[in-house]
Amino acid sequence: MSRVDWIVLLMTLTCIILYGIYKSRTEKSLDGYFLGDRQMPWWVVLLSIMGTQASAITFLSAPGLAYTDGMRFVQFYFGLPLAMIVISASFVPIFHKLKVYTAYEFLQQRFDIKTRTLTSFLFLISRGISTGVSIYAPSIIVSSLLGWNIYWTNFFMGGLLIIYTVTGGAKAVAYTQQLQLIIVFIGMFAAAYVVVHQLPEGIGFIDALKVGGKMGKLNVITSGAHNGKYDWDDRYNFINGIIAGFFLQLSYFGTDQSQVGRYLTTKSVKESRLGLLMNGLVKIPMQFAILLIGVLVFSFYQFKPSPLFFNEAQIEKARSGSLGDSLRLLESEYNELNDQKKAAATSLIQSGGKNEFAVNDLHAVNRKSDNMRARAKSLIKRSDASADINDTNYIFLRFVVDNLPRGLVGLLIAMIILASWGSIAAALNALASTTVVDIHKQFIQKNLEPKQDYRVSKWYSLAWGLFSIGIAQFAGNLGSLIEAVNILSAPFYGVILGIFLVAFYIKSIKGNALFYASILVELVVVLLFWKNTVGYIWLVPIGAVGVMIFGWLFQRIFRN
Amino acid sequence: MPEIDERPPVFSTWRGWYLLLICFLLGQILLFLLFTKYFA
Repeated sequence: MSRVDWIVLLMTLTCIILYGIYKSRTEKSLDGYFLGDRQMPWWVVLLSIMGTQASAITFLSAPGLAYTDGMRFVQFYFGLPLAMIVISASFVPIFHKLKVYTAYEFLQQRFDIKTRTLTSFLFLISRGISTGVSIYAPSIIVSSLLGWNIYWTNFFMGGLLIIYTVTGGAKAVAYTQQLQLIIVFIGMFAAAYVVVHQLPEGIGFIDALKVGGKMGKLNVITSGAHNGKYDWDDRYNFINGIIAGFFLQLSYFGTDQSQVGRYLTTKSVKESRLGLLMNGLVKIPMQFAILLIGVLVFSFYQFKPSPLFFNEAQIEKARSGSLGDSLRLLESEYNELNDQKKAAATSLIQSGGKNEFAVNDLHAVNRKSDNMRARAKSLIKRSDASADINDTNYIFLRFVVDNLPRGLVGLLIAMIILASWGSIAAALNALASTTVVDIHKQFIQKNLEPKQDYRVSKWYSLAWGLFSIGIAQFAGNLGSLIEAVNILSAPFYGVILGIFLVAFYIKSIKGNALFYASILVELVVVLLFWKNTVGYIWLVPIGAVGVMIFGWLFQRIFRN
Repeated sequence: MPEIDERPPVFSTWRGWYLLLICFLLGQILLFLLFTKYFA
């Protein structure tokens, strides 16, 4: 990175932190620290909801996913607008009416203390683990750019974040998130402009789409059918996007405190609903645009030389290792293939994308390219057994560093770090609020003064921050991080959602039946996850429906 | 479902917003389908 980039990066980060601290002045109480005194307008809540869901992972990993797997990941969000409707109609009015701090408080009023504790415990496990993965995402940027050891980078990045989060509370989280998102949108728009602008003379946006489309990257709608049968292991398709995606999003926005805590910061039901419904309108187009950037980067690398392996720090290490000569030889072969790729892509565009030979030719070159990349990964692994050979998360980052003009690189790196901080700050805030309200104040110290509440909350924010850094140290081998976060949450989300659905819609089921049904179903879901029996997205509906069915059955058995 | 007396903006009831979201989702799916077919 150039000096200009460093100045832009440091200034942007400093401005955001100062703005967060400036906006974080609240009452020193639970209301102030966790709910921003319940004064937020709907548009701050909207940006806060989006900022919480869209972490650095979204902006780093999603374009990489589109580059390797195409745009079908967007279908994962098809259930989101429907989930927003259900939450607005059922969940929001009740949470506001009861004036709860956490979603799980409601469960004690509806059932009993053990159901509330079980649910908050499941939330703490799943969110605690996925927050660790979220800390790892910006760390790989810094580690890759500066060549730092990833473990120490996790400590450094997590440490900065903890200072900012522990000081700020919910109000700082919400206000910094709105500024972060504005910077993020500007950065992504600039990246998209640069991709198209740097294509060769005579190749435009539509041409880039044609290349991506012919290479199977614009697969926005897929059926999930293989050989005439629906494939239950297929991760992203129209059917699981609508059905399983609906359950997953309902669970995430309706029962995950990191999201519930955002829309509880408003003064009224109306403001919460507007924030959620607007999110339902903008989320899919936003995700579509981010994935499209990944496809444009793919098309860009059809015309311009692409790196053999996108994690520069890792390949540099391998070059100086015992298999360095083999790797360099492979790189020179790959450079020749880049020329063939450019010729094939140009020929495809000249034929208007209609010449089957040109399409097949480009497919063949890309297959060779994939094969060489696989060989390079194998060499890197043989050279260093602890090497992370999944470079999906580095694709967009490498493009940014190699191709964006000076100053803009710094802004984009700042954007990725900020997006990550916003998301993790909200998660730490939620983890702390759940631990204080649902565990500490129930079992350890019941009657605390508001200032003691405030102090204890800060200590828990710190403790969860340290726990997440610990988890981040193990996130290196999880592949695409955007998938890893969802995969790690899925075994818990279903049961948590099932408990809430019973609470809202099945009045005949009582606490004991639900509690034991939830434990049984959670064990089954974890077993299915462990055995890898179905696609992870289906674990959520299985868990939710399982809790409802077994809860109903156990209620009949207990009553008799 | 509890009754809420807060009127939403633009529409007279929240059902208008819910319908808008569903129509917008269907419109997007249709557009994505055409997009996928066109560039395939």
